[in-house]
Amino acid sequence: MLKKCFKYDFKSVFKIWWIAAVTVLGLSVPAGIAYESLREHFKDPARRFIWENSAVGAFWFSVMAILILTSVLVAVRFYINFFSDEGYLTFTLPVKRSTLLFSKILSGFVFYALTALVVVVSLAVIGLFVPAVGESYSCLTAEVLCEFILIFKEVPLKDILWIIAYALELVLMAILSPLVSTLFLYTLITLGATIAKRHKVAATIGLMVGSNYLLSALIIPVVLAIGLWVNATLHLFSDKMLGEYDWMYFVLFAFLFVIAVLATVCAFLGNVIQGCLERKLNLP
Amino acid sequence: MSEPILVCDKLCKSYKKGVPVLNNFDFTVEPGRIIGLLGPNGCGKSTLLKLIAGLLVPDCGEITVCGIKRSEETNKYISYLPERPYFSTRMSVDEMISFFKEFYADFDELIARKMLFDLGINPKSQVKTLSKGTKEKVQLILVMSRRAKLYMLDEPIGGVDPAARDYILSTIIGNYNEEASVIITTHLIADIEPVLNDFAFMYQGKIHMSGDADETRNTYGKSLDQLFREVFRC
Repeated sequence: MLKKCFKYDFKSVFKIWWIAAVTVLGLSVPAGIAYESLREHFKDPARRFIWENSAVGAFWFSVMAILILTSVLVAVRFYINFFSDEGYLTFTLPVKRSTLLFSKILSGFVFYALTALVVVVSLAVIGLFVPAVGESYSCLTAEVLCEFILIFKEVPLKDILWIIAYALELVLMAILSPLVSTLFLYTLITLGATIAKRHKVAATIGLMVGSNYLLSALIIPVVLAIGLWVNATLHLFSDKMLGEYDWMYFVLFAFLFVIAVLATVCAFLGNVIQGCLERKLNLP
Repeated sequence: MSEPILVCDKLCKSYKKGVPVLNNFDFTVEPGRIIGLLGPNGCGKSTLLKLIAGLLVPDCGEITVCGIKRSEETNKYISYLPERPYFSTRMSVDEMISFFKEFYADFDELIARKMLFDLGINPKSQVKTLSKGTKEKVQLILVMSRRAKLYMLDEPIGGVDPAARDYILSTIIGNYNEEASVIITTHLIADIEPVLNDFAFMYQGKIHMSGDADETRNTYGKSLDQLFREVFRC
């Protein structure tokens, strides 16, 4: 059933999302060309400046647009499918609510990942055109990649293990971060639609604005406190107790702590949504 | 005697504290019956259907469908038509047919396509381009094209023209099998009366009066429509 649910969730968002993806990829070509070819084309620096900035500006605008659009499409799909009249169909299907929710989380995550991929690919396209500093070849060629591999060959085995450990942690964080964003968005929509009897969208937007202010107010002091604590620790123990690899352990465990926090937040938000869908469903 | 299709045992539901919509509500549906669930506005008809469909959670009591306690599992046996259009407006009628076919193992595509043809509805049409009445017809066609055990139709003919009502009612009678039951709620009692086997008048969250439609008509010498007007006269 998950496969079927995911198919419909994916199709519904993809119908509009692909247009934005193609636009971003399409605009990356003139943006890349703008750096080099237009320089040859327009001898007048003023005209070249306008052309360069138009092409590059349009590209970055499209990148911003796809980031916002993905969030909006994922949120709209979740809201309409669960809390509008469509909910009458969704919740009378012979499918467990946990499966319905998991399908939405999966599709949200997939679209965030696809958006990131589109942005990375479009930047790579620009990299193909932009020359590396002081070199005749472009930023992204086989030569550059070969040099990169050569650097890795010189790294000792122990350090490679560290790199693998860090890479794994970064991958986990890269998976958990969009997951937390998706679940946070879904939680606010669910709470807004559960609490409000009529103006559910307004309630959701109100919760989003309120939670943003609240999180900013909470996160800024926490981050500052952690920064101060780390700074104090660095001064206290520098050159005395911690060797080269002790620092590596310190950062590794700090990342693990962040991963554990993100995973706990995911589980908590998932449970909140599931609880609301099971017991507090409030269709119009 | 065969197992009841639906048993509601001492159901309670209130939206606000102290204002019960359903109050210790007992209701049993035997197989092969078409039941009219009738009552004035706000008496709890739609709430009851939503509880059976799993869209609401009862405050107390228990619902059993085909011997199974209400859950996602029982949705396999229930074909529910809510009182409002619930299809995705971004889909076409064809896509809705595919959707039903994928999620309901008991969906009969041939029946659905025949009924669409009979009512002159183009399966290629987008749901958003259909009129309100046509949307209701499409919904009813899809709901009645399932081989379900229990059909629950909330105001199925409220938004359609009188000519289509006859077709819809004949569809309801023609499409359900002898092992299945149909619960219909409506205010248009005179229209659905000919197809009803049983009726239940609901009032203030309880069954006020119920029985066999023919027997009641013979006993009182009145149609159910006349009896309803008399019982619920303002």
